[in-house]
Amino acid sequence: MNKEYQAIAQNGLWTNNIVFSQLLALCPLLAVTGTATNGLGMGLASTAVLIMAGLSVSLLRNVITPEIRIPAFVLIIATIVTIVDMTMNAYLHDLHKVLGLFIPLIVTNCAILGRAESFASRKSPLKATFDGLMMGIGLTVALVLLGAVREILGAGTLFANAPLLLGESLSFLELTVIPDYGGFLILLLPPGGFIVLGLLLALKALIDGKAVKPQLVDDSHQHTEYAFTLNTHKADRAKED
Amino acid sequence: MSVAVGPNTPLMRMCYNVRSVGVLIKQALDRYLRLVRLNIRKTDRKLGLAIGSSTTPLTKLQPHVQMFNAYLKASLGRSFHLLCIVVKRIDKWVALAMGSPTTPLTRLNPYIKIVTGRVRSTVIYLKPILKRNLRISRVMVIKVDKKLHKASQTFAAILQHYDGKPEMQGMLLGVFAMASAFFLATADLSTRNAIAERAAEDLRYSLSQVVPAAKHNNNLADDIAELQDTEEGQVSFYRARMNDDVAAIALEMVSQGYSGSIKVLLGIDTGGNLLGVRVLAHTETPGLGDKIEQKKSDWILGFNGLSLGNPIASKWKVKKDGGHFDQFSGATITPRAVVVAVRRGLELFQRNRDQFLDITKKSCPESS
Repeated sequence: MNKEYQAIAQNGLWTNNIVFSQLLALCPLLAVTGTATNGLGMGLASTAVLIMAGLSVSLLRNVITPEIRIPAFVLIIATIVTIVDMTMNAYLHDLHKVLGLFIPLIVTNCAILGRAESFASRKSPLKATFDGLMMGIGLTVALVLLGAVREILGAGTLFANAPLLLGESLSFLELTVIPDYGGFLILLLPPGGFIVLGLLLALKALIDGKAVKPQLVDDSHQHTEYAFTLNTHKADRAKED
Repeated sequence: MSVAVGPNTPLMRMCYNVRSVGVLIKQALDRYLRLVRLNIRKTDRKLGLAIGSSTTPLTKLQPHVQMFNAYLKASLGRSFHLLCIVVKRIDKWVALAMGSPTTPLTRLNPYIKIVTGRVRSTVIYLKPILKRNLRISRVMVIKVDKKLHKASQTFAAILQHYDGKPEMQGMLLGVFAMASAFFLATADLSTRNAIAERAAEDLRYSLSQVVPAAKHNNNLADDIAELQDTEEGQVSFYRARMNDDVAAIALEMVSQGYSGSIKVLLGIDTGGNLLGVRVLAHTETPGLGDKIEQKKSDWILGFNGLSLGNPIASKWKVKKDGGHFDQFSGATITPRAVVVAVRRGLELFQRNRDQFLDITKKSCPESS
């Protein structure tokens, strides 16, 4: 049992990391990782939704038939995001002012649908929740890392405006790494996001020892997983008929 | 050991146990199993054994289940009602459920012993299949409320009839949509007032930012008025009064930014000078365009004290366009939009100064 959870953790944090391995979540990723603080905010909000979506999809997995699973998952995720948005706006208004911008972006994050489809819909609620947490942490780390690199090289600061997100007690996080830095604008713009992401991907491949092989990153993995899902669902249906 | 359960024990309980059978068999076979329902006919009655689990087909298990059913069919006595055999495997529970709705429980009681014996052999039979050590822990006999059972059977029959058909899929999706709508409506109803209150607080706070408290002694947020402008159309604004004399006004302007509209609140005194400018809402790029917010940068404070003559009209632009105002690195469109909004607001004030300042001195402020 413990080993299974260990595998889930390793999957979420490194092997199958949403950003660095699955290359999902690129839309919110490029939009918000101009600074490390924004990356952290987006990561935390996404983690909350990943956990809740994993739990509810897992709880409903025996009710949802294979044919309607995609629209059903989209409905569940969109409902959760909207409710989280409204609840935060009403009761955590100050936090909402900071994170509010990111929350609607979460709906565009296909990683959440991906996890619902390939993990939560076939595992127990506890495992799905844990997977959501681990995937969320993996995503948060990736977003903060990307944001930090872009912020340091692009603007010369690190965790600028962090107190807005985390409270005044953490204002020490706000650093000026390179004083009197003129700025390197392209890194703050979306193209810079692509460039830094590419470099970080190369770094991960290097660490994993994959860099020697010329066949790029094995992104077919994700596709086969989807294809497999589809086929098994079809096979099930055929059997029953 | 046997436990008889009263006549109203719901069918739910049986279903619950059935589900755990699936889980155990799944673990035992190291395979994912799909929910399956098998019906065995016993002369004129139906005996059903159901094994439940989550995903992949049962191919491997199905022959075993059929054999098991046949075995039970052959070995069980004629008169039985509904029974549930629970087999305990160290820490896990297995439950097998069989149903037949007619015979009363009293007639079954003598059979319980026999059944227990059968279960024992069932377990022995199951052992090689599951390749696990099992031991009997409990035999439960559950009598089901006849009406409930009938209703549930009818319902199950309907479900089975529509299972996998498009109507069913559509219905299920419809149910999901309705459930989502219900949750959203509930969340909306329970947060609407709080959100409106927060928005009002925000408005009061923003107003206090653009019109200093020393300038007025009325409740700024409640003193709303409207006027018709030749260019901007219907405009609503807030009047700040000091002892009934209008001392300043606050006005919302909207202009198009880089990725959506930007709402700007201006405070203007009687002389047409800016008391303050704040951005109320925007969807600009975080980290680039959001420096128009006061909490991210002091840029917006640069408008304080300016008016249409200071700087002159041709300088009401960002520096890139040859004007007076700084743009941000990476974001020119956003500050340009804010500058335009502020200039338009000042021009609006100039055109309608008398109406804004309520020169006719109405005793009651208009309300929208």
